[in-house]
Amino acid sequence: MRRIPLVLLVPAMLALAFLALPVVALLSKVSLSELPERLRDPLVLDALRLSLVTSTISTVLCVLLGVPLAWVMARKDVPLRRLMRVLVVLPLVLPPVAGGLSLLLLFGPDGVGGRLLESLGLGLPATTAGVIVAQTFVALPFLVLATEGAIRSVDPRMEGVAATLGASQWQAFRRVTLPLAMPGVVAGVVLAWARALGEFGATVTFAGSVPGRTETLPLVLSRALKESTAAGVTVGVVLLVLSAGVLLLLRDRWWSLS
Amino acid sequence: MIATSGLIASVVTRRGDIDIDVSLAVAPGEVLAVLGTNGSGKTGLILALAGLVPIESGQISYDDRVLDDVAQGIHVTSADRNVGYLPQHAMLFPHLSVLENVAFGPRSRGVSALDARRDATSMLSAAGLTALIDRPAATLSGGEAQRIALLRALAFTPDLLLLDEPTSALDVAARTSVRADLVHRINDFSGATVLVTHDAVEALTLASRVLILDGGKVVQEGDVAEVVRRPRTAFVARLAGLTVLSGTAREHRVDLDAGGALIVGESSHGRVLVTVSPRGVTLHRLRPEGSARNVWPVRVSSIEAVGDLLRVSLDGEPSVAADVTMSAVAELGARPGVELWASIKATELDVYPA
Repeated sequence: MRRIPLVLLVPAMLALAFLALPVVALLSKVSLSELPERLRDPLVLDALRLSLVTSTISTVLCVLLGVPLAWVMARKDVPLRRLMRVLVVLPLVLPPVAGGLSLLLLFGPDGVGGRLLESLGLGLPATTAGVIVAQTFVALPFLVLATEGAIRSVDPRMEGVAATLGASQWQAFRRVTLPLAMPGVVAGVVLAWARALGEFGATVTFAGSVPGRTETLPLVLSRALKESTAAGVTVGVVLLVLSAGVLLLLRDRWWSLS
Repeated sequence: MIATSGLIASVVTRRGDIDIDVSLAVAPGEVLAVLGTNGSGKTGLILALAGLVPIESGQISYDDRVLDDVAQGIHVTSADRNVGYLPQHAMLFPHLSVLENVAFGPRSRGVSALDARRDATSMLSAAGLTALIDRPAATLSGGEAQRIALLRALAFTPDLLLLDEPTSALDVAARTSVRADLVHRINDFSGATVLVTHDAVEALTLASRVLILDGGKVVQEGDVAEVVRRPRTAFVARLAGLTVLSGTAREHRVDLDAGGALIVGESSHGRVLVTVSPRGVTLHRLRPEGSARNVWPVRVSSIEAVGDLLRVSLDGEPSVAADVTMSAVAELGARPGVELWASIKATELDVYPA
């Protein structure tokens, strides 16, 4: 192999160190003797359970809503396609707190959506459902963009052949397009789930911080840090282990092709 | 254009820069070849027949069933057309096994997975392809993939079979076996077949009738052997790998419009076309002494590979092409600009009224 030019090697190594060192710093602060006890803290355990449940439900919602949207964007010559793309990317660039505020204005007690839900006896703010809505809002773009790219990379002539074989558009999508796009969809699922798990700004703004109901791990982390760094480290490590664990779990099956 | 059953189509559509305007009829059991170069509109035509692209005007029907009628606003989708379509690059579903590929059509049409698999299995074993049944489609060779794609297209007994350059993407060995397979399958097929190709040999082997497409329009039509042997335009001649020359005949001598004259075997009078097969033309470094009646000086303009021979294009009176072996080219020192002598026997030339 030819040697990597220094002008590229040095920044590349710096970038790697920049990404790795904070993680090392976090891990170095873990006191192994205190960790088991801190992990048994019911506040942490409740938050962990809540985070796992909400981020998983959000990811499922992202798939159910996002995959069809990705297909429409990749395959159909619909009007306002550019606008669609802007709308999809918006939650990605919008500061999460502003996203949470927007959700609050729509679904809060004074919002159009909120009044509609209230008439049905439902309310989102300060509920676990609200957490899920906030997480879905910020995670959906990741799923849609990854899936759209994957669907675009499937040769549309494959769908044409499926059609001549008698497949409806839905059958062609389910039996040909989706399986061929699956690696991209899975990448989108992982990204969306990780984004939902780490969600803080939109959640705290829209759903508030109610222990056991809306206080997910990142919210507990923020509160714990106000008490002491040591308390925060525990929660931070739990989040780190969860995210890294999912990446490692999926690596052998889907990541390895890259 | 008299057909009471089978495919009847009048297609006006646009693909890229080409305006396609073609009428055709194919009876059940008949194979029509549509012969044309890239950009002749033949792919657009086949996609329209498959229902994959809409037509701008015209009609397509099979037997009594209207598939497209722009005036009446009828467009039957590909899925409802009962058309078997074999694309150029097989386009097998790479994530499915060979068996699931062949069973795809029947399953999409509501046959139970169990029955579809059983039928596909017996189809594959009848074709001698049992060994491939469980192979992922992505692992097949080009020739294998094309043979499986053909079975997949026929698995639901379509009315109409559309073949899009079925062997042009294959190497020579695979081409031979796929072509043999095609001949066999088409013989057993009771519906109409449309074969789109740029390969005159493919048209000759598989089709009985040919339609020559140029710039989206039909320029010649008829019995395939007749069209390929006696092309009416330089375009058709090129597709058939022949040179066609126009001229005026007086008994055995034809004075050519582009200059020069040829002695031909058959006596005739008046306006004629003469076809020269590149295989009949012999090249010499010096003026040959021999029995050939036609000998004239030429200059090499270009050389390209055609199968395992080299086609040497020659400027002269007349300008023709010669197919010669690699070693002959080396021996003659033939390269663009080199001056040589060409000869052809009078009996090698085909003469027919213009």
